Amino acid sequence: MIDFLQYLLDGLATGSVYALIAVGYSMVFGVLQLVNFAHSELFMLGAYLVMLLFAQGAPIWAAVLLAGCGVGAFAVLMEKFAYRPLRSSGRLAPLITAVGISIFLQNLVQALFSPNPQAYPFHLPDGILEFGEDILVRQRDILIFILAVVLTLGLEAFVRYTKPGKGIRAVAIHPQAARIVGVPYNRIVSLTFFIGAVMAVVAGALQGAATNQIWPYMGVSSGLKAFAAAVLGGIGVLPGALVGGLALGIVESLLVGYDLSTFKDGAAFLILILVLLVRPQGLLGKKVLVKV
Amino acid sequence: MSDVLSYLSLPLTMLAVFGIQALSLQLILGGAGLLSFGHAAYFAVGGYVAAAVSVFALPALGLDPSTSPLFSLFVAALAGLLASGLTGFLVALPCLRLQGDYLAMATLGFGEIVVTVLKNVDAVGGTRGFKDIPKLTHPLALWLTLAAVVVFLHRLYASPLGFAIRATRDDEIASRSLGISTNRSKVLAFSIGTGLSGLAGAFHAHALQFISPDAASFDRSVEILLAVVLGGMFSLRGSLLGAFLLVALPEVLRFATPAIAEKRVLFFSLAVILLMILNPKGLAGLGDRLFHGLRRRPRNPPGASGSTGVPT
Repeated sequence: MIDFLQYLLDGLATGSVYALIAVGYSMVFGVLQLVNFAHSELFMLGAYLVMLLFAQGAPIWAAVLLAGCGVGAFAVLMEKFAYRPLRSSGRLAPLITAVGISIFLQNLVQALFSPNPQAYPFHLPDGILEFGEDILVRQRDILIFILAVVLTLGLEAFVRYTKPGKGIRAVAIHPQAARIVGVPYNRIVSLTFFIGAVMAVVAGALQGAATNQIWPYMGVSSGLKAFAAAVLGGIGVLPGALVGGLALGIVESLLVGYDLSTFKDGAAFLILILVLLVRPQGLLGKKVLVKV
Repeated sequence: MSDVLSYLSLPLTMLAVFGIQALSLQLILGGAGLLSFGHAAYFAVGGYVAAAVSVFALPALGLDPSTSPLFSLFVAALAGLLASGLTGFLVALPCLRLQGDYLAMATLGFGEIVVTVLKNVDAVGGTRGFKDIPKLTHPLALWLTLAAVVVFLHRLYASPLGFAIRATRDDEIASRSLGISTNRSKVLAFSIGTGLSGLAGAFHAHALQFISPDAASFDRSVEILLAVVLGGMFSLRGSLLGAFLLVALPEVLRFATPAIAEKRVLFFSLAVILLMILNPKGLAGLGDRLFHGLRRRPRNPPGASGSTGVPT
């Protein structure tokens, strides 16, 4: 039982990073019904940019802020030039450009830096807290977890109570109707991409600090799992991304703990399929009726 | 001259294998309108099963693949085809109840599960991959198979089942009201497509003498998707064109100036983005546009419902 609790706590940090990436997949899908496969590369790009800025001597909060704005601007441009022209061309065409951008960014970063993992210059406090007799928790895990919860719930509050947030929800519910009542559709889409990118940058910096290494393909596996987390929790629902991300992080940690680490990568997707078959809308999603 | 031929033999083999695979996804994606993001999984299942047949099963039956390569290849490829088709069938039964995007996610998930399972089966090499598969694939047999697949799919699209598959894609509810069993046409299209993908996997494994769990990875699935959508998912020749482009483009870039050759993946990905933005319906659509533009005005006004053009 003590073991179980320990593994559970170990999974929180990984799960929190998944959750922060999942938020971006979830929001973009909610607004455009597009799986933005390049999103995982924004996460990677964020980790590198924060590293660069931090190495230049910027304090960490400024490095994350600047990198967030930079990657956010890139995401807005990406949507404008690679996705927007294909909006009326069906679901698959923008998906292909997303894949193209993804391959491009991976290889660009690989050419600029190196294909090898690099040590991360920024670290989180790595003291250890003891609970009771045997349960140990790293301070940085708690920090990452709290940050993920605060950011996700803060974003949920933003989407719920502010005017731009209400615009995002309106576009997600009914794009045409939202446009008719005067919601600036394209600006809302850009905002969605920007917010998703900022979250991905935070996730990238946290991942770098927690594992102490980043590499050009770090987005590939984390991205796919974050995407699974978004679907698992209910795509388009922000607290769902948090629940899905944490669930996957904890399951992976449990598998590693019980000596099943070679099955870790498949487990996320097995759970995904099982949940989809029973509850296609995800754990926290609402069922949408298709009208004829 | 023989140098050129020997240099070309690998890309040509890859081209035919990739062509079969693109055609197999075309049936699922363009023909039946089912989003499959894990198509490489069936390729890997077919490859592994076929390799297991020629490495373990045939010698156990007292048949040495090196003495009768064509017969062994035939048996192995058939086993690969059936195994992956059956896998596709078993995936389709529960998953095809899911709509559009959810189906895409479930198929993606299944692909990753196949990777994990293959990595954990030690009998076929685990993470190191399946080595020492006999080299049975003869280029002629491979290209004839590709031709046979083209003819088969052509006939399929002209058959009642083909019409049912396309009708289901265009409007499921209307098809059902006409008495078409939409579930049957979806499951059959998916099973046939996954089976053909496994056939490609069998040839691939016996050409390279090696197959690894990565053959089922999401990257590979995306490559096939890229070929089919880039070339034009609503026609067989579009998908073949896409497969050709995806195999040929990196090879051609290899011979460009060193600056480009070194960074050819960068240029390749830029080319993919540009081609897609300029030809949202795929390169086959571009050909049709030029052709029809010369002869007559298009019959359907642009933007009409179902503006996907006349599917094959």
